[in-house]
Formats: sequence, C-alpha cells, structure tokens
Amino acid sequence: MITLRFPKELYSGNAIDAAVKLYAEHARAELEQTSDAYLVHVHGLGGVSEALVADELANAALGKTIERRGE
Amino acid sequence: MGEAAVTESSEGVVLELDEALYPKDAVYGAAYVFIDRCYVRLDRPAPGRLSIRLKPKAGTETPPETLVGELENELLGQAWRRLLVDENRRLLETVTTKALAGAAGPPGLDELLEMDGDESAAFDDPLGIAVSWEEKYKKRGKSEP
Repeated sequence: MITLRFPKELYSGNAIDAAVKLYAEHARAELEQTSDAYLVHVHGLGGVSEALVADELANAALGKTIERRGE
Repeated sequence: MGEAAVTESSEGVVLELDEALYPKDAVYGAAYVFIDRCYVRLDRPAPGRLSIRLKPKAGTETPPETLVGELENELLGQAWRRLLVDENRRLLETVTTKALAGAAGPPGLDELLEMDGDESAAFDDPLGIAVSWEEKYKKRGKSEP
C-alpha cells in the first residue's frame, strides 16, 4: 500500500475524487482526511505496479486541480 | 530562507521556494507545463514555503538538474506574466469597454428621439448668449430710447 498526501490548500478534493475514479480499474483507493490534508491509500490491482498507479493518480489529481481552478 | 533550494533523491528532484516570490498561481502554471514529462507533486513544507517535486516519467531522458533549471525559468516566466496582467488589468478593461461600446454602432433615430430630454432645459440661457444676429444688430427706431 502507498499513501499519498495532498495538502488541502493546494489540491481540490473533487479533483482527487475524479483522479481516484479514473484509476479505479488499476487500484483500490481508501480516502481519508486530516485537518490540513487529503490522504489516499492506494492498493494496486491485478499485478500493476502500485508505485506507477500512485504516481499517475497524483499527477491526475494535480492536473484536474489546475484545470478546475477558476470554475 | 528566501531563495529556492534544490534537493535530489531517488524519488526525483525537489525545488523548495518562497511563496512571497512565486505566487501559487505561478507554481500551478509552471507545474502544469511539466505534467506530461514528469510526475509532479506539490507540498507545503513550512508556512510561506512551497515545494515542487519532479520525478521524470519513463522515457524522459532530460537530466534532473536540467529539469530544475527549466522549472525555475518557467516559474519566473509565469510570475512575471501574472505581474504584467495585474498591472495592465485596468488598461485592458478600458479598451474592452470602448471596443464593446463601439461595436454597438451609432444611435438610431428611435434612440435619438428617446434621448430628448426636457425642452425647457434645452432653451435655458442663464448667461443670455443665445441672442439672434438680427435681434442683436437691428437698427433701433427713433421711437426707441
């Protein structure tokens, strides 16, 4: 399992949700939040590299956060 | 610590910078440029500080130090662009307003008719300058004093 930490002031919660859904086929994710961050626990599925899925998921979360700014 | 700091690890290269010098918008803009070549992560290591981690994707042959250099250049460009936009915002708004007003075209007859205001106000002449030529230079008769 890999845990990704996204500071709330830098990442959008909706963008993280969308990124998790995007990679649902390759990883199971558990979402959690602290006072200042969203935590995503990533479990790889079907022999896919967990680290690769986690990196791609984090990139997608950042990309969607930036794209959704100003909406 | 005011200047940017660079650290390298197996997880990529991390650039830590001062948010007062590089606003969050500039950081997002610069990060987005690298998202196709690297795995990019943002973090806040301390109040007023932001960090950007770049981990090259498989197939990216650019060395980490070059990526950091490009990131710093991009950050500077984004910050400068935003400064210019803020400074020129008022000018842009004025030009846009004038362009929109001009696009509406000259007023039509109906609009001119709607514009006419109070008729008595139109002929109000408090300084007495609206005197006709004939009235001003007419020959005075003998009967007139």
